[in-house]
This record gives sequence, C-alpha cells and structure tokens, in this order.
Amino acid sequence: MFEHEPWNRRRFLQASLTLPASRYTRLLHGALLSQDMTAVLPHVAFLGTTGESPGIHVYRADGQRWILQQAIATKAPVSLALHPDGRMLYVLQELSEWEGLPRGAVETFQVETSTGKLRSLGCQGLSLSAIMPRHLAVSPDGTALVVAVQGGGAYNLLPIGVDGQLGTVRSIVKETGCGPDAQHQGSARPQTVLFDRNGHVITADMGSDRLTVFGYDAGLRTLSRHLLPAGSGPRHLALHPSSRRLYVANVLSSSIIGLHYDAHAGVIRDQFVQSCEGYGETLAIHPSSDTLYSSRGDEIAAWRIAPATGMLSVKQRTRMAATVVHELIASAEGQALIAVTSCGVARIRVDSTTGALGNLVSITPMAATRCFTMKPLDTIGAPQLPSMQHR
Amino acid sequence: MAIVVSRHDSRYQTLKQGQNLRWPSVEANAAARIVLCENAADAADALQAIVSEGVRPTVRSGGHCYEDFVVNNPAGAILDLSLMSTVGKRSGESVYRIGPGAQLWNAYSELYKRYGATLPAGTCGTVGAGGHITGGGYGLLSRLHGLSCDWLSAVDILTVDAKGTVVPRTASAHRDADLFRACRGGGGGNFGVITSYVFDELPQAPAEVIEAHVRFIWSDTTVERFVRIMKTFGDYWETRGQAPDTWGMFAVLTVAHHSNPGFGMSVQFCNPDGTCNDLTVLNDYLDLFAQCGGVTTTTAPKTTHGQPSGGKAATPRDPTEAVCLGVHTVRRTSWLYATATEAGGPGRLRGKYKSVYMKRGFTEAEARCIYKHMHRTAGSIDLKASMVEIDSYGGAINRPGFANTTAMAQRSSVIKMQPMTFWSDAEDDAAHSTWLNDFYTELYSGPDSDPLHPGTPFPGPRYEGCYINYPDKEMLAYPYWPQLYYGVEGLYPFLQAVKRKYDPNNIFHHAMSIRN
Ligand SMILES: Cc1cc2nc3c(=O)[nH]c(=O)nc-3n(C[C@H](O)[C@H](O)[C@H](O)COP(=O)(O)OP(=O)(O)OC[C@H]3O[C@@H](n4cnc5c(N)ncnc54)[C@H](O)[C@@H]3O)c2cc1C
Repeated sequence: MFEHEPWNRRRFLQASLTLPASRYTRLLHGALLSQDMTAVLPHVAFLGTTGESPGIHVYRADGQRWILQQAIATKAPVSLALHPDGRMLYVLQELSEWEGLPRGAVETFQVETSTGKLRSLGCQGLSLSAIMPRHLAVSPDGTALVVAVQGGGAYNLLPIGVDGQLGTVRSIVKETGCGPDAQHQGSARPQTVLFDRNGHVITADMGSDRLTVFGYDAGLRTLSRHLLPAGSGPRHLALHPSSRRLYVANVLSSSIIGLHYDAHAGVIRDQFVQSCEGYGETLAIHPSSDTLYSSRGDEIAAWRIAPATGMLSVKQRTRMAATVVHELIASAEGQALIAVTSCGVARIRVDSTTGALGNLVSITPMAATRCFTMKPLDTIGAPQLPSMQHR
Repeated sequence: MAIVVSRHDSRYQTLKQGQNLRWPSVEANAAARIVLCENAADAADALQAIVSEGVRPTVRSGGHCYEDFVVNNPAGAILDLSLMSTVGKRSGESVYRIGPGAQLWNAYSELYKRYGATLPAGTCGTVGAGGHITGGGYGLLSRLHGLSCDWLSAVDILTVDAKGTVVPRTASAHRDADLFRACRGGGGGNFGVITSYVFDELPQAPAEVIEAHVRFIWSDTTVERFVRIMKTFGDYWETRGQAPDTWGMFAVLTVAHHSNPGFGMSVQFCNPDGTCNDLTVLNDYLDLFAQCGGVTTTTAPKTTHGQPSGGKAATPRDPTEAVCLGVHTVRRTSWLYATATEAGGPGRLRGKYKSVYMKRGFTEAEARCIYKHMHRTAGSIDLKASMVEIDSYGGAINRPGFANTTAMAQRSSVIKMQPMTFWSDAEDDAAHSTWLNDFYTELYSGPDSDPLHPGTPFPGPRYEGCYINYPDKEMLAYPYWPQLYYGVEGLYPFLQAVKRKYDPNNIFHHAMSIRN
C-alpha cells in the first residue's frame, strides 16, 4: 500500500545537523525530489521549534526554494496563527508558568510587509491555571483569539484590538470531565480550536471525549456539546469546505469519525462516519477535491470523501519513516500538503484536481519542529478580507 | 437557596470587594457575581452550578485575604460563606462546630459564653474562620495551646471530582486522612470549600489575663539601644521563653515607622493553668525592657495592623483593674474583654504584608537593618502606618508530632514576624509595595542569610520560611517559593498529591495555590 520510499528521520536529522536548511533543499533537488510543482506565489512560512533553542524561523518560500530570513528566539512555541490581515503573528507559549503565575502566554509578533520578518511586541498571559496551552486560532474577522488549554483544562478568549494587539483575557471557560484512559483522560484536556465561517468556535477535548461549540460576543458562550464514545480522545478537527461536515481525529481510539454540522446554529448533529481505524492524530482537507488527509505517528493517509454522503474511503497511504507528524496543512492552492514533523517541514505534491498525494517536493529540515503557518507574501501586512482557509 | 448578587444588584459594589481595598485591581478583574450561601446544601448546589457553567469559583469567608486570591476573579463567581457563621454544638452531637463564616470575635464570644472554651486563633476579630483555620491560625493563646489547626478533628468540605461533580466529604484522621491533613494548615482556596470545622475538644479559656504595654520613644532610641531592645526580645523568646512556665505569655513588639513618635510592645499573660496567681514570669520579662528604655503603661498603643479597635457590638463592659507589679503598672482583666479589645474592626484599607518565621533571636545586623528601614522614607508617601509586628512564638506550637499530622511545617520557630504597610490611595500602591519589598529583601540578604536563597528567609538554621495565611505574591519571583511556605521536608509534594487526587481539574486555584 505504501507508495513512497519512506523519508526517514536520519536524513532529516543529518541535514539539519550538518547543513543550513536552504542548502539541504538544494542538495536534495534532483536526487530525491520530484520536479517542482507549477509555480506558486511566493509565501512566507513561519516554523516554530522547541527543544534546546526554541524559536520561530521565518522563510521566504518560492515553490521548493525556502530561504531562511530570520530566526528569532521565543520561549516554547506550540501553535501559530496569523491575523487575517497578515500584520501579526500570534505564538502560543506552552508554559506552566509565566511571570511567576501558573499560566501560559501568547506572544504577538509584528510581521514586516515585504519580508515577513518578525518583531516581538510582547506577551499576554493567559488566565490563572491556564498552564500548558495547546492550540490557538484567530477569528475570521480578526477581533478575537481563542486558546485551547490542555494543561489547565480551559479555553481562553483574548480580544484583538484594531492595531492587532492582544488585550487581557476576556473570557474563560473552565472545563471538567474525564474518560476511561487513566493516563490521558484524568481531567479535561482541550486540544484544538477551530473557527467556522460564522465565527463559531468548535473545540475538541481529549480528556472528556467532548466536542463543544462556542459562540462569542462579550465572552465565550456554549452553544452545543457533543459527547463521543468514552475513550475516543478527540485530538484534531477538520471542517469540510461546505461547512456541513466535521471530521474528528480521535487519538486514543485511533480513529476518524464524521459528524453532521449545522454552521448556522453552531450545533454538531449525528455521526455519519462510524469509525475509520488507524489515523487519529491530525487532519487536513483539500480545498477543492473532497480529499481528507490524516496522520498517525509517521504515516499519512489520503481519504476520498464521498460527495453525497461524506463517507470516507482510503485512497493512499504513505510514511514519513520515524518522524512524528504534528500537523498537516493543505495549501490554499490545493497543490501541496505540508507535513509539519518533528524533524522539519515536508512539502508533498498534491494533484490539485484529485487531491492525490504525489512525490515529496521539498524538505526544510529543522530539529524539534512543533508548529507552522504560512501565507502568500503579498498578503502579509496588507489588509484583506477575512479568510476562512486554515493554512 | 443561595442569594446571588450580580452586577445590577445594589449590594454588588460592596460585596465585590474584600477587606483589603487593593482589589479588584481593575473593574475587568471583578467577579461577575457573588453567591451568598446559608448552609452546606446551598453551597453544594451553588458550587455545582458554577462548575457546570465553566466559571471559576473563588471562596470567601471573612474576606481578609492578604492577596488577590478571592476578589480578582474576572467574570467568575465568589462563593461567599460569611452567612454560615454558626458556632457551637448541634443537638445530639458532642463536638464543637465552627462555621466558616464565623468571625473570630464571634467564635470566641460564643465558645466562651456557652462552654468556657476557646480556640487558640488570631487577634483580628473580623477574620473569618474559613480562611484562618485552614491556613494554620495562631494567636495570643497559641504558645499555650498550639495552633487552631492543631485542634481540628474533621472538616466538612465540598470537593469537585474529575467529572466535575461536587462531592461532599467529611475528612478526618479516619476518612480522607490525606485531605484532612492538607486542610490543617495547607491554606485556603486549594482543595475545596470547607463548610464546617469540627473539634472534638477545645481548650478552656483562661479565667483572667494580665495585659501590659511597654512604650519606647524613637527620640530616646539610638541605633545601639534599638539593637539592645531587639536582642533582648529575641534572646528571651529563643531561650527562657520556650520553658513551659512561660507559655501563657505572648508578646507582640510592634516597631512602627519613625514617622510615629514611638513604638511599643503588648504582652498578654496568664499562668499555664489559666490563672494570674503567679506573676513572676511577667515581672521578670518586663524588667528586661525597663533596662533598655521601655516604659510600662496600661494603655495599648494603636492596635496592630494599623487598624483601630471598635466596630463590634458585643464588647463586654471594661472590667479592668490596674495592678502594680514592681515598677510596672499593668492591667488585670477578664480574658474575654482583653480579647475583644485586641480584636479590632474591619480594616477597609489598602495593605501589603510579608512574613517570616525565626528560629533564633535577632542578630545585630538584622536589628540594624530594621532600624535603618524604619527611618527610611520613600518619596512623599506617608509611612505612619508602616511597621514590623514581631510576635513571640513556639511553646505549644513546637510540641513534637504536629508537623506530620498537620500541614504546618514550621514547628521550630521562636518568633514570627510580619513587616507590613497600610495606606489609602491607589496611586501609592507601588511606592508602598516597593518600600516594604526593599526592606524585606535587604533584611534577608545580610550576613545571616542563606547565600543560596538571597532576599528570603529560606528554611535553615535561622529561619523557617513564611506563613501561608500571610501570603505575599512577590515571593513568586523565587522558584522555590513553595519551600518558603511549606518547608523542605516533603510537605509540598504531599499537598500536590492531595491536590491531584481531590481537585483533579484544579477548580480551586489562585496565584499561590498548590500547583498540580
Ligand atoms: C487584620 C488582620 C489580622 C490578622 N491576624 C491574624 C492572626 O492574629 N493570626 C493569624 O494566624 N492570622 C491572622 N491574619 C491572617 C488571616 O488568618 C488570613 O488572612 C485568613 O486567611 C483570612 O481568612 P478569611 O476567611 O477572613 O479570608 P478570606 O479572604 O475569606 O479567605 C482567605 C483565603 O482562604 C480561602 N477560604 C476562605 N474560606 C474558605 C473556605 N470555607 N474553604 C476553603 N477556603 C477558604 C479563600 O479562598 C482565600 O484563599 C490576620 C489578617 C488580618 C487582615
């Protein structure tokens, strides 16, 4: 079933230890990489690393050519999100203490228009007990930022001012709940926050096996809850471009399920995909071709989404040998799947019509990579309409 | 049914605050509502509703918290137990119960009038039993009878389980013994909501006490004389003051800032049997201070904590009698009256406090440092209500065994000291905090300090850390702050395990709560 020679950890690491990233990319060209994809707009890519020297690495990405622009130190980046107008990058700090208090923090960076280079504007602490936050997302209208707090079992909402700066935490939802897996489900462990196009926040809580949809105005307001089978451990979400179907990756039961979603009311309805075994860590949906990508450990699968029913059938599987995939991101143009792995960022060619996975196009090796986001260079720093695309 | 006071209620502006007017620091930090409970069932229902809603509960009894743990609760709910103030035995029960909302003065009065009993708890009459007892709780009778948490037999407490369900428990040495130990000094706002304190036994109140006040005038007090006063005080409590025949004596030396004309020491004395038949110990003690310029009077200096007495309805008629004791004139009075006078009213000021447990008396360097800072000004701020309150300590508190059955680690100290400052204008917040912090940091950076833990009274040969009922958020700057408050013998990891077991969601949290 595996179509590719596994890209292995040793290659990633060798490269990252001995060569600057840009040289490695060039070196691989021809030997390992397939032909470049058709030309795409230059992007700015932000890559967050943890480990011994945590930081954000800013790349200018011209197709397969990724050129490092800047490496800027930061504490413990675990999740990145750009403001819809590209002026600010918000970096979630996975900390158990910030300024002496038990909480994580969000650091705001101003993004330079022509280069994407970053300048820190400072940190905003999360609410008390919001330790080890896991994921953040910015509302489509750019007025709010929501954080899933794994350690503290909570969600925080922070207002974003017109200047892109974060205000103090405006709303806290403290979750409770547990599941049968004593190791991972001793208490609530929110993992993911995802805005739908109406600005509802869909969240997944691994600890309590629960999905929650919040509305927000002055604060977060619970619109609906959906309980998954005990022991599922929902970890990641993907909303179909139609906004009518929500796919959930369950990390503990190692499964993907599909649920009907009413984006108007912010309500999760019945489950239609019972369980696709084996790929429950991170998800991404191709923007136009009814393809869902999922990962588990070092494996990536592409699933066909039946247009009428939303049912899943596996199309392809491949492996990133021995590197853990943290995130999958389908490029907005539908030509690449970006796999954020523990050893760096890999770009995998995608057939923009069928969504099928092609060859590995480029690799940006970087040890202890944790999070990633990118955006076309010409939309960085320039106001634009709200975008729903998760990039 | 609990009473819910939300923003539109006329009571909200008053009830959103505690006694210390520093909080809520900004309106956005104020709780969205205050839920006043009248009994344990109310509290359980209210807590369940708050938790189910995903809102943060903070718990309040007397509202005297030194830090923002209760009142800074953005959009949260304050569970207020001040109406749960019943004190006494229920019919058919032999145990004493004190409701968390009981103010100490009322507890003393009720226990005394009904049973002749008392609780060896704190001096401020409006401090609530709720925060006080679970944070240790000591006062003028503690050298004789130990800490109030030492007498505790059980607590009724509401915890929240992993599922988010409120669980009413009675924790004692026999059931949920780990939780019970944690509630005996671990500090409020950590594990759950205590709805009743239960005591199988309580000590009898003294029949009468002697009160003495010694005044010192700053203009007569050179630094050398000041050093002598401090060393006299410290040496006594380190040595003679630990002998059981002195345990009924408790002294509070309040060194007020030099912008006051002087400073003073108050002493309450009884013999260990609760009588005042033999005054030799007191007389000897007062003699020591006469030799360094102290003048014994029958009038108390302005009471501790900068807060004048008064505001209590129930103060008994003054039954005092002046007594000549050698060269000293002192007052003989009923214990209840003495306690009422000491109790004071609600503060309603802005205040900042620090604390230290001392295992030894004062060194010359420490005394000189205190002298220096009591003479130091800070810009234009008024330091009249800035002082160091130095309490005699030890005696029954240091009896062996309690360190392992309670959550109060400090069982070797002979003095407990509290530098503090009070003011009324918000714009002076930073200046007062800085003045106090600079003083404290220098005091514990001197030649007697632990070089590995500068600026703090880290547990070691001289010091035994700080008191959790006197919390100071500035200590969070030291990564080892839990050891300052809970010692170095494994109490903090124990409390962390209790926290994980009984509050797995960390529902009860504040800046200095036990971290899981
Ligand atoms: C003027 C003054 C004099 C003092 N004198 C002394 C003294 O002589 N001796 C001494 O030992 N201390 C003394 N203290 C300190 C006092 O013991 C603490 O401030 C105590 O914690 C106050 O309790 P409270 O219920 O009044 O305060 P609150 O502000 O209501 O509570 C304090 C803390 O305890 C928690 N808490 C309150 N009720 C409960 C409950 N029912 N269950 C669980 N947690 C709860 C709160 O959440 C908070 O964290 C004094 C304080 C003041 C202001």
